[in-house]
Amino acid sequence: MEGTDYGNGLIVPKDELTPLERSKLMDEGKEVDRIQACLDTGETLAPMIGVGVDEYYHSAEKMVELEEYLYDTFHGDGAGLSTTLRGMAEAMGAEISYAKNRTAQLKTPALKLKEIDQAKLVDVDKDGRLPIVLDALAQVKKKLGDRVPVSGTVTGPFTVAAMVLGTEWLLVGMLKCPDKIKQLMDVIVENNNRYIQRMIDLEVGIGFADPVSSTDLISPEQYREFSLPYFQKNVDFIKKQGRGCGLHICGTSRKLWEDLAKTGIGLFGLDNVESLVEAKEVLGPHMAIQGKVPPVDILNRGTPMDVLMAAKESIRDGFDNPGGFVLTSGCQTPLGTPIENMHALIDGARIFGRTPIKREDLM
Amino acid sequence: MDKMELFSEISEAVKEMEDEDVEDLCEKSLEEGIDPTETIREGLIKGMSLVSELYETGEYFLPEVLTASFALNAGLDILKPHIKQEETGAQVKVVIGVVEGDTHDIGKNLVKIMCESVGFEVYDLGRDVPLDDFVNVAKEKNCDFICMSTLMTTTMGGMRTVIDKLKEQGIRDQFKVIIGGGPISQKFADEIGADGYSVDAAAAVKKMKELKGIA
Repeated sequence: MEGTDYGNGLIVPKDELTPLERSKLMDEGKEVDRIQACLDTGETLAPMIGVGVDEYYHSAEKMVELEEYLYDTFHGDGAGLSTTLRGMAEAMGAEISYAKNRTAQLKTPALKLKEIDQAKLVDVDKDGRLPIVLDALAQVKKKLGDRVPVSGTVTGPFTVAAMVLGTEWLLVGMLKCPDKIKQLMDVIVENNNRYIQRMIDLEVGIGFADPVSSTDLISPEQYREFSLPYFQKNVDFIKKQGRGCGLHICGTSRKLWEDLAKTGIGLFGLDNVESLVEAKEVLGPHMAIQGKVPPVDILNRGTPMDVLMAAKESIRDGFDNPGGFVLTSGCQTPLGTPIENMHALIDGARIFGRTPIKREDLM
Repeated sequence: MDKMELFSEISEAVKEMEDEDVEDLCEKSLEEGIDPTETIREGLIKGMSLVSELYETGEYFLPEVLTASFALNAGLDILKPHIKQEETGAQVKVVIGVVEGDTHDIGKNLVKIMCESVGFEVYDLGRDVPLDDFVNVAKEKNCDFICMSTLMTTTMGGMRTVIDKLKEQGIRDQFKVIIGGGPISQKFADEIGADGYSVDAAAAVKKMKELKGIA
């Protein structure tokens, strides 16, 4: 927050631009006051407005209330809502378990491997919680869109498949019945496109979250065969309409970067286990990069000073990325993260990301 | 067919994830009167340890390991009913599960498979496991290791609770506690006083062998 004194002369300067002004000037290639910084938000922050996580998932009103609260409190450079990792699979028939104090979990997959022929095309106005999220997204755009860029997140097709079948069955299915898995992936591509079309119509930004595509789970060859071609179809659908999109993969992803550089995405968010310096070399000429304050050890369990120092390190490694750099955490902000630490992340951009940035000041 | 040749074919079939071949070969071993315990040890488990090596060197990924473990289990289902009496021995015993509140169990399953591939006896409590169960089963089965996993930050605290319960009952020293999962780090393991942390399943078994002083 403006004026906060972290000691050692680290006093937070005032932002000179609104996030929307900053974003527009950057698009025009003009100078701005500081680098951009976002909190990775969503259902885990619902308790900050006194709402249970389960209630948040099912209430457009609460989703909008949380986004307004987050913008008013932190003035981060983005607002937005996600279908959540299981949202599309739920619309396709998966049973999800909800609870007050934790994120949702897959209870029963939508389909068994031998039922893939029954994979259904969704109606985004009726199925699961998709209509709730779309309603909330339209309201957020209306309420905050004059001050901050608003975006929606959709789940990468491969991760949707994991939630439709159960991750273990998806992985085994790739080896046992590859053609069936590809048949399912085609249905998911169409379902994602239907949802994406609504985001395009709402004129909000588009991001993908695709944790199951991590090389912690599958090989680069499997990624290229079962995940990338379908993700590419979603990306092409967006680009054909003159729009762009970003992607976040949790965990390791380094071996996928050469492929990702060719997809045409405009932003990649890397997990804190990966190197910003390396990302800058491989992905930097093709897109913006965002990262990577460690979400658990630092953002959730560290002190505000730990967060500031991690932010400083990320800015030092990322600020001169040719395609641009956004400071954020390496993954979603965990439930119960102290508000001071969330302030410290954005303040990190205000203190260390103030232009002009000199590398030697950040050593 | 020579016994050793059959064992090596079984290992190969597990490695190649051919569950039907594994089943046929295990049936054959019974027809030839080969001791099922030996077939399990020299055929199935050996095959799984080949899989584990390939995973460690990055040649196999999770899909291959899971599919191979299906083949292993298909073989075990055929052989186990024919084992006359449970072997007793100085085997390493492990209780494993995903802590209460969390149902993500792939990481846990993988560690279980890797443990079995080196011949450890594993008591799998599944997912969303009440914290007392870890303690009770470890005592009951006289386990060497308590292995806990979670993918969620909200359930990490359960691991500390289990360790505290062991301390309260004055039995902390009887077990080695190993933890893992997405949000877990060495730092967290140190904080809660766990004996070991590992980034993946192969490393977990290495850590356990190290703690047990097995080469």
